[in-house]
Amino acid sequence: MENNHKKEAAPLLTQFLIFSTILLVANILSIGISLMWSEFPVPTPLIGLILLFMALVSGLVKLEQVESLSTNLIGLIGLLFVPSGISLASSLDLFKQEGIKIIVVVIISTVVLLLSIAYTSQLVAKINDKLHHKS
Amino acid sequence: MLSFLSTPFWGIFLTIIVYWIGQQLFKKFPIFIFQPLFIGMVLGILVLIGLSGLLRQPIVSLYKQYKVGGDLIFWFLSPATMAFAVPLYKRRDLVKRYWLRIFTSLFVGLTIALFIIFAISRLFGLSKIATIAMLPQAATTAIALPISSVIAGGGQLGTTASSITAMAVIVNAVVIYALGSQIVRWFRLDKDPMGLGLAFGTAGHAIGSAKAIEIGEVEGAMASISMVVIGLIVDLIVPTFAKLMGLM
Repeated sequence: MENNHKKEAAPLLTQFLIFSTILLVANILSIGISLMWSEFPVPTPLIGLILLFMALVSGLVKLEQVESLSTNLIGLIGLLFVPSGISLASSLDLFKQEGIKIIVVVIISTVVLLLSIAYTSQLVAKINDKLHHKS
Repeated sequence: MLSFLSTPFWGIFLTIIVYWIGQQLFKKFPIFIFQPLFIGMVLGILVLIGLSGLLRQPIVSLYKQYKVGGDLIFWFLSPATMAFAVPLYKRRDLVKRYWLRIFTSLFVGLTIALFIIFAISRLFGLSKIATIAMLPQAATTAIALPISSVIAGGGQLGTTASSITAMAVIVNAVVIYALGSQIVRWFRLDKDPMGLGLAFGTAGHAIGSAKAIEIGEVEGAMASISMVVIGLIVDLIVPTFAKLMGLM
């Protein structure tokens, strides 16, 4: 599906520039949205993701200009989560009171999310098939 | 001498070393509980607790010192989340063909899940702040934390809520990594590879997606797509849901 003759990756500085430009624009948009609807935060990374996707689809940014930095960042994502995990150290008081309950609720929630999405998807597929058979 | 604790070098070193230890442990003993991220988080907190006892300082002030370096690493979660545009772009054929099915499944599935999660939180008698922290957990960290913080009202409450959400997101991943395959077998989910991928990406985030890639190509692609789309949907419906339920 993808072109097999891969083009050479763009220099790291170019990749950094593209990432930081998009993140800056995304951040400005995020601040703008939060000024208009303060209760509906749209986080910068989410806007950045949409902008980068649009830039790739429109051809403004070429795949080889962002691919290797993206692959490296995604490969490190586990490490990047560690500080947010350690942030629990600042809420140990609440955690001491409710910790076990919270963990049980999270475990059940995980299974609920998994089943609810999987079954809804099966249902949507069934409805979809029926509609297509009729038409 | 101890002032090194409040320089960024300390937080960066601690973050990397605990994750590295987690990775080594996981290589030797590939059991779910040794998930590098989980080990890293637990070890990091234990080191801070130990230091707090040793130096007779409150844990909160040691966390604040860690945070100077930790925040530098945490910042890279923003470009890393944005980077998921690349795998999404590579599978844009699937997105184009199935976007309606993907969006409907995730939108309806998440709405149902939110009601159940809210009911369970009430059933277990979680405090308001912990209940709020449970709601955005389907989104990945960089998206879930700011939402959690805003719903809780920002400030200290916001920090508390987002740190609980952060832990929830990590536990989600550990549960999917540990039990994902068994749940698929128990509930016979393997006949619908698309739904399976969407569910793994939503419930298990990046680590769930990695697990989905092990199961199959369609599952893996769908999981990475769902991580992105669910972020958008969480952003759309979780604040509204919190308002309707009187949490905001």
